[in-house]
Amino acid sequence: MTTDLLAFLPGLLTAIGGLVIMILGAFRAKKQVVVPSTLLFLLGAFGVAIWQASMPTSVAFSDMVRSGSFASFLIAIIVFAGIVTTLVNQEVMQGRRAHSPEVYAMILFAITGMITFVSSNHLLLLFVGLETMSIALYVLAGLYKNERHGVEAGLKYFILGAFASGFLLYGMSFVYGATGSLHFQALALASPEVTQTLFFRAGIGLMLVGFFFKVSAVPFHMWTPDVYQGSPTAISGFMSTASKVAAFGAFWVLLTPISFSVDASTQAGSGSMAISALYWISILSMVVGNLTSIAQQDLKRILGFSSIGHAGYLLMGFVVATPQAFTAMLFYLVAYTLMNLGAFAMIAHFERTFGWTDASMDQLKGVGRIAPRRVALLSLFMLSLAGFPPLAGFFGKYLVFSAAIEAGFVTLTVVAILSAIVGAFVYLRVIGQAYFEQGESAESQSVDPQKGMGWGMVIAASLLAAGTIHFGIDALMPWPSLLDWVNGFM
Amino acid sequence: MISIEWFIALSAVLFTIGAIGVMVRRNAIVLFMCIELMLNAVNISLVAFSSYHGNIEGHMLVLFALSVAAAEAVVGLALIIALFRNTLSVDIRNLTLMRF
Amino acid sequence: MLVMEIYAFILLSLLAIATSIGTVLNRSAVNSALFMVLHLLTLAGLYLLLRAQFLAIIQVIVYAGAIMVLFLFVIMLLNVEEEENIIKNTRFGFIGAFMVGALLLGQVVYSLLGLAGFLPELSGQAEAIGTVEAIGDVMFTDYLLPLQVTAILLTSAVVGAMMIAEFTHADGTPQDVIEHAPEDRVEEGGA
Repeated sequence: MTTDLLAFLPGLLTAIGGLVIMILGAFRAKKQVVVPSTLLFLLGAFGVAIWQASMPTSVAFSDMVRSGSFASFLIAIIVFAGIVTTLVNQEVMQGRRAHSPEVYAMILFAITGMITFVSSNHLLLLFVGLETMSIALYVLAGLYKNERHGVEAGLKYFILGAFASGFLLYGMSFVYGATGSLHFQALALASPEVTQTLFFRAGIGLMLVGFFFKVSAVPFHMWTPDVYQGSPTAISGFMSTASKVAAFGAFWVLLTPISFSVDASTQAGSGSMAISALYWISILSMVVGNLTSIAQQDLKRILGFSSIGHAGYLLMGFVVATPQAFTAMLFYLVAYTLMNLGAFAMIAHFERTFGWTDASMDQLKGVGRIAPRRVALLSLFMLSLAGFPPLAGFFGKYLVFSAAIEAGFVTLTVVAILSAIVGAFVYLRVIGQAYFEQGESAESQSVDPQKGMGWGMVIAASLLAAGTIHFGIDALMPWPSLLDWVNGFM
Repeated sequence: MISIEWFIALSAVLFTIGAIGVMVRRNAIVLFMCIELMLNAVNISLVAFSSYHGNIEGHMLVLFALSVAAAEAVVGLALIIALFRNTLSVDIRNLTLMRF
Repeated sequence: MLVMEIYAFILLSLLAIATSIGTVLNRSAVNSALFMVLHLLTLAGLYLLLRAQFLAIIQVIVYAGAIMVLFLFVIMLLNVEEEENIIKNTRFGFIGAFMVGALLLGQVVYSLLGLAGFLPELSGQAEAIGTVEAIGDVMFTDYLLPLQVTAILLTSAVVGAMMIAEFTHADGTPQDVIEHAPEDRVEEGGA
């Protein structure tokens, strides 16, 4: 029993943390109490996850949940995203009516769901974890409930999310019907006669629909920009990173053994329907995500479309499905989390400091003159998203693309590189807007330029910026790098 | 004994009706009921598989899906109330503030 | 006995399909919800045919009893009486949805056809696993972790629903319900 609890300790800590925050809220605790206690629980979970990541994979709770190795590594990324979100959120939400202890409780519950999701070893637990994450995120997306934007975001996310989880559940029922078990191992070890049936494949296809929705891959992406635009900005950053880390991690464990087994039995690599579907959806996501972001005028929408494009790059890892692709995907998830959280955090900060009513590009005009250092930070994250060396985003893309080329997916890589170039233009346009455009709106506002970032923003932004720079170059450094560590998981 | 194919076919028909409902209806509450129809259709096939395999996992998944559906209903209806307070209607055609 | 089962299955499945169509097509939200209650009751009957006695009871108590009451409560609370002519207003959408639905159904039925003789017959253990004892037995041993996570899920759903549905002023202070009622709404109700 104790070993079971120890294996699930990060999830346990965040769950208890959420309950404690709720009780603190009932006693009308001040923000000065609520935020540090949230951070305390999250830091505890982070420490435990990092410690467990150096241990080999083990199962607990009668084979329900995995811990150790890369499951714990992904948990650490998710909890880190939670820490940054809490730090940013407590600052940008100040004075906003949506600010209450329950917000932090919901963040902690969402993280509990993500931890369950990413470390599940059984389809039932995967479903429960996914829904725990989703329900907390529906609430967080609809937090600005007195604004139509906020309600629209929450309801759109909710309706489409519930629709997609219906498909996921239907897929699970098919897979269960074909194999007679919901265990990941049982699915991976299913005989070729079972996996060859159209019924089993239809089940996998239906499950993929639910998965594509959660990572906002292209035919199922329409909610993404709307939800990111309407949600509180810090929360959008959280949704776009942590929930995707969880989804990619969980489905990697679930899908790759199945697609491998299908491949092995049909000899030809194209025999697997799942892989060819993933191939086209990866291409579509990269192309559509990057092309449509050109036409956007709202910063949060731009980041929404860019996250669709990044989902395409990450799906390349699933298509290639080699050990190199796996480590590349893990590295890319780290880089993506750092830079995307950073971009959202800076936009949230500008929204609050300059009293923006929306996050449109025009608001950014001339801000580079008023707050050059903060815009430099934003530019750093944008350049990393665009894939400029020597930042983390570049190195992540390099790893993914080289894994794809090594496995012989040349067309896919060419499409990816072309769409990355188109995407880079959009990010550069944002930077240009901030530095080189004449600002009427920003300079006429009575903004105190000295009013800088608070302690939370300073810690969050410097962590993210340091990470974005460091992980771009640490493979070249003499000391053990992240890549070595990630390689050890395979 | 009724062959299991009949139960799966029934579940497919009901799932399809629910999915069509989600795409056709404009009233958020009814739309949400159609999502519940889909979840229930899945439950039939899960229970059928569970009974025919003689394996309890399907029953457990139905039980958990049921509690998840209850939780979803609570949050969904709260969001619908919030929508109503903003637009004085539950028509999802009102959800068009954010577009390209 | 077997013939009775087949008759019961035909009756219940036709009723289930009819009530689900009623839910989708009915123009009044209240009628839709009542059709849905009937639908859930027929599903409980189908569960009994599948020897899942515990789930049949839970279906009636939780789904038909609790969830649908919540739906009806919200419909009444919001006094939604928006009659919509579904077929006429959204003809294009209807055709599109129908095509997608037909595609989905076709795919499932097709994949089912390729399965003849592959799926099992009703297991002899079906009756044994549908009981409260069997489910309770695994619920608190093998499925302990999902159970605990579900507890967190329900907690967050309840707290979240309160955060979203609570009446508040723009600055976050609680608002009186009567004070909130917008004028045009009151008139609408009176008319």
